[in-house]
Amino acid sequence: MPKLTPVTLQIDGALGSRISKTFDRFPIHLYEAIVIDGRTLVPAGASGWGEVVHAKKAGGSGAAGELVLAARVLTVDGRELHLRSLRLGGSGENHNQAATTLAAVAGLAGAVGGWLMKGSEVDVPSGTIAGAKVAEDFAVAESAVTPQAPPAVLVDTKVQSEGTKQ
Amino acid sequence: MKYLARAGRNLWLASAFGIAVAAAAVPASAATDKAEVVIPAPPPGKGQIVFYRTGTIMGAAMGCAVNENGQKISSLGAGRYFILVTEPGRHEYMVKSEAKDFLALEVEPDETQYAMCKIKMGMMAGRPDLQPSTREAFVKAGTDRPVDDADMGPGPGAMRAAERVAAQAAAAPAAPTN
Repeated sequence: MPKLTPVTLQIDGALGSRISKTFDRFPIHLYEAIVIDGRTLVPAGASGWGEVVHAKKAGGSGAAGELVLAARVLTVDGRELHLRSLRLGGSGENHNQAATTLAAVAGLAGAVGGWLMKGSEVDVPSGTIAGAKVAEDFAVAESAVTPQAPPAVLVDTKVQSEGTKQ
Repeated sequence: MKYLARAGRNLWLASAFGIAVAAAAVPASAATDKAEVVIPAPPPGKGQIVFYRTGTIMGAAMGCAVNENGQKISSLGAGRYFILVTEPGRHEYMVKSEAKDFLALEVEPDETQYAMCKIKMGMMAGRPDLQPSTREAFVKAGTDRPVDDADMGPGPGAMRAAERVAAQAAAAPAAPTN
């Protein structure tokens, strides 16, 4: 499996600028099987983890909450498949943002004495769909490869994640 | 009478703050009629971050100095940007003026990220706020003036004018970002 192969993940825990801490790990799993040339290299369901690179609660002066997430690893055949380029609400294709970076919009408009105002928090609900890429070439054992029976069903992940603040 | 005078002064202060706050909430410059800034792709195997600041009135006179590991990379004036080319991995940046703020980003090879500095209202002085951003927000902010070389610090990675102009000229059409 070549590096930069797109993968679609699901985040299996609630994350947010208020509840997450920098360096927290969070569970993920492969939402769609990785299929290349009609062969399933990694079936859906493989589990792994991501990491909170940066989390900051919303603060005074309308400072918005901040959350930076990274996908790290899926476990495949007992080995670590390293990931990169996490992006919420995508399939991993057609983007090259390094890690998902989120900042809520500050709620300052019309505030007098704005330093008393608190900005919005960022929330990433459990079950959020995310795209990522394979970070490096990864050899899959031939015995683990299965031909794909029915044609792949493409899921419109964008619609499912539109509620996420960005 | 004294009360009325004080109330009038407070009303004036409230109005002044209201204007400043409203101005802070909306970028002063719109990018609609400007040519989009070309951000070249990073050198192979490297990543990069575009640090920028909107041209708002709030804290316009204050600098927003971006540092990593205690070394100044560059100061961001209002409406300015600079491109930092760096090694992939986690990086933690600090902005400081009278106060400090931190932002960690995951830099990945061959990719571009964005970070925005805003000066927010504080009790005594403006407070810098460095937050993750996107290509779309950078374009929308209309920030198109690069930081002058004289405002660059000793920290490595921030592209000087000559490097930036050469890279932007080589990056036609614009490199895909974000």
